[in-house]
Amino acid sequence: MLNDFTSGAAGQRDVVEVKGTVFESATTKLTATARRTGGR
Amino acid sequence: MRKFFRAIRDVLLVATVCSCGGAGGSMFATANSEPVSTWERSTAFGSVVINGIHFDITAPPFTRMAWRFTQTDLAVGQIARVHGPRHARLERSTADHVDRRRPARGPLRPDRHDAGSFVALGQTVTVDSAKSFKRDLAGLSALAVGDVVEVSGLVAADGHICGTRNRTRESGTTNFQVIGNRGGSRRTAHTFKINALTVD
Repeated sequence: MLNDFTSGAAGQRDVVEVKGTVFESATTKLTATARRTGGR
Repeated sequence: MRKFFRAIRDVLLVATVCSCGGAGGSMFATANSEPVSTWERSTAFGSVVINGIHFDITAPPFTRMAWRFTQTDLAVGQIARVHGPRHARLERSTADHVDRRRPARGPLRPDRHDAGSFVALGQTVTVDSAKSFKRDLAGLSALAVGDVVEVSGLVAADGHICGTRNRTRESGTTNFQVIGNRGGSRRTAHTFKINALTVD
């Protein structure tokens, strides 16, 4: 988990690129190891 | 006096060369060109056509997320962003820079896998024809639940990906990735959503 995942204004829908290695298919949850904003 | 005319001639020569913009390509606009940058599905190697302009893409730096790659890593059907000058009267130009995009790479979900779409990493990917698949991948029917699929395509306004090229990765691949609009942030849980995917 990265500490700044929830940074940004409320309701903000910025474009994010996320990388991770652990994916739980039952809950469709990805544990991220890296994040970059503005990837699109 | 002869030196004076020679100096005037040199100044005019330099001005003429600069105003031509040059075929070498530059992101700086000249009198006869303007910079353009657009996402486009690659259809062939060597050049890409955008609004009728052939951009030569054999020489520019190829990067993705600041990582350099070569043209051989760019496959037909993948989405690439081409930067370069568009000249006023020329139908050919040279790209300054090419970026590649890959909206999702992750395992195929078991309960959403039909004739026209599939779900990987919580992202719905629509497929319009067999051309959306790597040559050695027969199509949607060749995909198995749990396969790690690498998707190249454009993201629609509703968040789904219009897949233009899909391929499977080696068995056991655990490097997953997704690009999308962030929504549904929960500060207490330190999570947010990208479509149906929860990111922790």
